Amino acid sequence: MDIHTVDIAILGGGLAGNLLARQLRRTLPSLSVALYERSSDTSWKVGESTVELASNYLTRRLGLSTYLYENMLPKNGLRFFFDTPEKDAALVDMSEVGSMSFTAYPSFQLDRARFEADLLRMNAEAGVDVHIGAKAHDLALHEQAAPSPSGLHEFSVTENGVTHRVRAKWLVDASGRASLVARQKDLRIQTPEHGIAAAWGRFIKHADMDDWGPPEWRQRVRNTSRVLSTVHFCYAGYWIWFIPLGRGVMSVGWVGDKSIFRDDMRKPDGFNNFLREHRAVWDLLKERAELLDVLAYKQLAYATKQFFSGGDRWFLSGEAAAFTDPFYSPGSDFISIENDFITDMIARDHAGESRAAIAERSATYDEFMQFRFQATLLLYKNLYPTLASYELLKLKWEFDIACYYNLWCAPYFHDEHLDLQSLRGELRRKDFVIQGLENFSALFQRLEAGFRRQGLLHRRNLGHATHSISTIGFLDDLRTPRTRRQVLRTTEAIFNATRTAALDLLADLGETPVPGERTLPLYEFMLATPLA
Amino acid sequence: MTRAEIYNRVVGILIKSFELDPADIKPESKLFEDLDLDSIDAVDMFVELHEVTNRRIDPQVARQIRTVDDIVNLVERELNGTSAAPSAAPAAPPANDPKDS
Repeated sequence: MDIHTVDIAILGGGLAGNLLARQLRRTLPSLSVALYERSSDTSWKVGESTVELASNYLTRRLGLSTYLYENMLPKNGLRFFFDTPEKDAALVDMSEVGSMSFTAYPSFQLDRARFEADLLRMNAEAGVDVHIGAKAHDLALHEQAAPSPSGLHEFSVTENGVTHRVRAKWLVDASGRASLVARQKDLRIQTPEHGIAAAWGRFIKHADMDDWGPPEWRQRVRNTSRVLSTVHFCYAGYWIWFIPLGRGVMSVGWVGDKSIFRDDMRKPDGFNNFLREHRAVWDLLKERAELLDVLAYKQLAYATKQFFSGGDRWFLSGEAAAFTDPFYSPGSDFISIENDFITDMIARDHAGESRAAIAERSATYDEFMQFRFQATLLLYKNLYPTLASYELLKLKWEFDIACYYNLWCAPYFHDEHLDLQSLRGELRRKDFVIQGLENFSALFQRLEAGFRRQGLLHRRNLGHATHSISTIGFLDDLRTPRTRRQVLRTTEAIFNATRTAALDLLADLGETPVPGERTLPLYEFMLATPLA
Repeated sequence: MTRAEIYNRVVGILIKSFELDPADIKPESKLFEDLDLDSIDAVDMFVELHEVTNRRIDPQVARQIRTVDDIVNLVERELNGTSAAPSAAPAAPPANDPKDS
């Protein structure tokens, strides 16, 4: 059997693997990179929407700004619409949360099939040894505890009926849910605490939301494009997305509590029938729209015991490692941070840094990814019922987006995640941050329960609109690094603004003994005690 | 740890974290008024104390802290396991920590 030897082998030619290959060629041009993609055609995938952190990675780190603006659609933020309990509201009557101008930091809607095909081509042109229709199998990791005879990771690849053996110094598994490494190392952890399913399809010949309804409805958002937003139609326990892929194609998907999932949603007729139950959604599709394909997952989220083993030179990126929830499109954010960590560890290893130092760094990077996973899951876990209400999701959205910019985007923009000292400082505070997020989760759950008990979840779901976010006045400050005090001050302001609004809602319900203190010092939010 | 050792550790934390002059720190020093700490500093202080005691800070006790001596008392109680409303859960994993009711 032929043996091919390469410095870095990447399993998987999807988003995670392709972006990493590009990053490695740009950062470490002296190292050879081979990429193995099992599928022989770049099939359609979901995960089209990027948010600001991933877009920063794509534009700043990977130099894809011009490519993205020329070939993909710019994204006009997130947009939410709310319905009646009977799901019979017309689109223009629905309450709306969404901006009337493009966001301050760029983001994009990706047609994954086109993007990944282009990345494969660009990577091949940049010298990556790209193998399409190449199935990897019979993996033997070379680990300090269990060395392989060659002293390198080894696996077999079968393509065009021929099998050869590959040896690589560094191995990155970016092969998605089928991950060879995750299976072999038994890394997967189920997350029954977040039982969310999804079904999705691509439509053509759908109606144009930007050429819809009366002129006043479009002028309400200054005629900015609603189509270019990731549009969410929100219901108790689930949401339906509309994401434009360009060239007349619209991705439409359902994500919701597993108990609502119906097996027939895996089939075109069943999926269409489900969508038909929602007037505003169906008005945009109707019989004229053609459903090109449909896919589904019964359980979306899963965790991993480990993301990286820098000491043993193997790494996971993207869905080979873990997945939380698509609501705020965090998938490509995870890829961005993981690929940065992987590239950094390979670069240090290649430069001769000791294996012990890299193992220590790897453990810190791993701990950060686990922290990020835990914090991200807290945005969603037990909170799908709040989607029913314009008032509740508006409050939660303003909290979530402000925390996202303040705590996650800003440090990334200035590469603080690659500074071990800064990362360790952040990890020292992680229990407090997690406690703060848990406290807010409990507060949102309490509000939802109160609204539901009194039958008020839908009371403002028609005729209301929010087009600006009061909690993100600090966005301009993110262009330069901020001191930790500035970050914490901003955190304190976000927490107080959200809690104050929540207290007002509770008072409105007549459910709360409103405490004397309207504003709290930051540490109070991070203690194990209810916020109201 | 003896009380004196705890006091020295707490003073060490205050000096290191907030660049205070050791001469200014006395057992009766008021954190906010005398030492000029604020709500942001308090977060850092609780992070440090959490690492000393390896126990979750009791919210009721935390709210009553006014002086350096109060911090020493808190650490002493936590280390001896005699906090007024102890929360026995260790630092990790935080997701499983019980909420105070």
